[in-house]
Amino acid sequence: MAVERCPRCDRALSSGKAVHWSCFFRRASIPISIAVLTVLVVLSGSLLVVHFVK
Amino acid sequence: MPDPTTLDPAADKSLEAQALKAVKKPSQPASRIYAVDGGWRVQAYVWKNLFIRTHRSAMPWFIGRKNRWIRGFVWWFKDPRGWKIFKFWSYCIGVGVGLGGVSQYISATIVATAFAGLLTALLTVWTLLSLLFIGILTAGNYIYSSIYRLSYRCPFCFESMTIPVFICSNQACGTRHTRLWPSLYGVFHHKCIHEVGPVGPDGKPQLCGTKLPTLNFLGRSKLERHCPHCDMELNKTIGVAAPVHIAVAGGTNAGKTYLLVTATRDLIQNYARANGRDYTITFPSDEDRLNYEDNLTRLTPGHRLDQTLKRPNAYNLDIHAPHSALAKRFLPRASLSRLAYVYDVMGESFRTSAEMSVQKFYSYINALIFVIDPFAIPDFADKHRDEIRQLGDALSASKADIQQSYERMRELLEVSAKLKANERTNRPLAVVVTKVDALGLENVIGAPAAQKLMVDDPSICLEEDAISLLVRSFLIENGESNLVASMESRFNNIRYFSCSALGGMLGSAPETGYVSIRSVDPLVWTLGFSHGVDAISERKALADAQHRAQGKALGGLRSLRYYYWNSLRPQSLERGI
Repeated sequence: MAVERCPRCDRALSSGKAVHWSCFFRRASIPISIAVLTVLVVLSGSLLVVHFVK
Repeated sequence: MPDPTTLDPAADKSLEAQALKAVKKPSQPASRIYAVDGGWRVQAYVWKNLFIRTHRSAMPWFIGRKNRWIRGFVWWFKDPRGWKIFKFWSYCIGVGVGLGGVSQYISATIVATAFAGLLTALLTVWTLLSLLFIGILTAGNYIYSSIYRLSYRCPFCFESMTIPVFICSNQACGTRHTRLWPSLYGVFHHKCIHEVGPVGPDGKPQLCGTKLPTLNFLGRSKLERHCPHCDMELNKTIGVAAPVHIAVAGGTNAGKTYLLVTATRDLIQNYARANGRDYTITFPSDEDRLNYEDNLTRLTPGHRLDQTLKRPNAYNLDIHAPHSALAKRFLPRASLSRLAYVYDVMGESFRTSAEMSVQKFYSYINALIFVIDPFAIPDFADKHRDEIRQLGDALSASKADIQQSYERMRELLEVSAKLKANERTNRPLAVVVTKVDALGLENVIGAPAAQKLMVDDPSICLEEDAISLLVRSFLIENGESNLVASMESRFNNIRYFSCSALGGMLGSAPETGYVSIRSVDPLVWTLGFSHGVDAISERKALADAQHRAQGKALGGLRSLRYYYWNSLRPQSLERGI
C-alpha cells in the first residue's frame, strides 16, 4: 500500500489528498490574509460609495 | 466498661487515653489530618463523657448531706435545743448546696456544649476546606499530568505505576510511603510517624515526625523513590518530565547497541548545540551515565561492546528544551523537560514467545527503530560473498533473519498495543540500514548518492528524503520487497535511514576516534515525531527555504504556484529511482 507524505512536515497523508492543508494554510497564511483584507476593503469601499452616491 | 463515677484518678486517665488514641493502625505511616481524626475523637470523647463527668463533680453537692461533716453540721443546727435562727440558716445552707449543684450542672453543660459546638464547627470547616484543597490539588495534578502526558514507568521492569514508593528523607527513618499525595493524611505534606527510637520514660516511642511534601512542585520530586513492583530506585526525572518511549529492535549483531551509543553521543555532544539549538541533554541516572561512559571508553580503542543483557535494557535521557524568557514567565511549565526512555532490545529476545512477553514496554511505546544489517540481507550477501569473507570478523555480520525479526516485533506490538489485524498505526518506524561504511554502501545509499538523486530529481529538496528513497529502493532491489510491503502496510509514518555507528571497521580505530555517519538521524527523527525534540519545526523551516529557492528559480507567477501549491503535493514512497 502506497504511503504518501507531506514534503513539508513529513506526516503521512491519506491517499487522494491534494495537499496537506495544514501546511498549505501555514505557508499561505500571509497571502490569504492579504486577499481577505483586500476583499473586505473593496467591499466596504463599494458600500460607502453606493451609500453616498444614492 | 467501668463506671466513670467510681473510677480512681489512674483508671480515669487510662480511660481518657483509650478514648483519645488512634482507633486502628493507619495504612500509611503518617498521621491523619487533625480535622478528620484526632479532632473528632476529642469531640466524641467530650460528648460521651460530658454528662458523666458533670454528674460526678456535681453529685457531692447533693450527697453532701450524707457526708459525716455536713451531717453533723446540719444535726447541730436541727437540734431542737438549738436556736431557731440557726434552724433557718440550716435550711438556707441546704437550699444553697442544692442550687450550687444545679448551677454546676448548668454551667458545665453550657461551657461543654459551647466547646463541643465550637469544635464541631471548627472541625467541619477544617474538614471541608481540607477536602476542597485535596480535590483541587488532585484535579489540578490530574489535568497537568494529562496535558503533559506525565506518567511513571519503571525503566527496569517496565511496569507502569500510579505513583512510586517514596522514601522518608530522614536518614534514621527511611520508611516507605506508598501513597504520598494530597489525602486525609495531609494536604500539602504527610507527617511521618514511623518509630525511630525506643520507648521513652513517658511510655511513648520516639516518632520520626518528618514532613514529606505531597506534590512535585512542593519538593516531592527530590525524595528518593522506588518502583512498587521491582523495588529498584527510580531516577528523580521520572514522573516530572514528559516521557517519550523509543524501542530499538533488530536481529543479533545488527549493530543496535553501537548505534545507540554513538547516536546518544552525537545527540548530546553535537545535535544539542548545533544550528542554534540550545538543548541540555543529560543522564538523570548515574548508573546510565556510567554505563554510557564505559561503553564510550571501550569503543574508543576499538573494543567490542557487551551484548545487550537477557532482559531488554532501557536508559533515560533528560532533554531540556529551550524557551524564551517570555514563555518561561507566562508559561512556567513551557520549559518542561522530556524524558526519553530508550529500550535496547536484545536480538535473542525475539526468539521465543516467552521472552517476548518480557518486553511489555511495547504497550506504551511511542516510536520504533528497526535496525537492519545489510550483510544479513541474503541477496546482498550473495552478491558480495567474497568481499564479506575477506573482511571476516571485522564486519561482525548478523546472521538473524530480518523478516523474522520484524514479524516478531510487529506481533509483539500488535499484542501489547492491542492493534487489530491489518490496523495501521501512527507510531513512527525508523528503518535503519547500518554499516554503510563497508563495501562502498555509502555511495549507494549514503549522502553522495542522495546528493546525486537530488540533482536528478529537484522535487526532492532534503537529503534525508533522498536517503529514505534510496534505502527503500535498496531493500527492494535486494529481495526485501515483502519486508518493505509488510512494514508499509502497518506503519503510517515510516522512514528509511542509512548510517554507520562507527564510520569504519571495528578494531581499526583512527587516532581521532570513531566518527559515526548519520547515526543520530533515526533517534532525532523518532524523538521529533514523539515531541522529544523540535525536529519537525526545523524540517518545516528547511523545506520552506528550499522550496522558496526552487520556486524563485522558476520566476514569475510560476514561482508562487510552485511554492504555495506544487511543492506541497504529497510525495509517494513508491516513486521510481
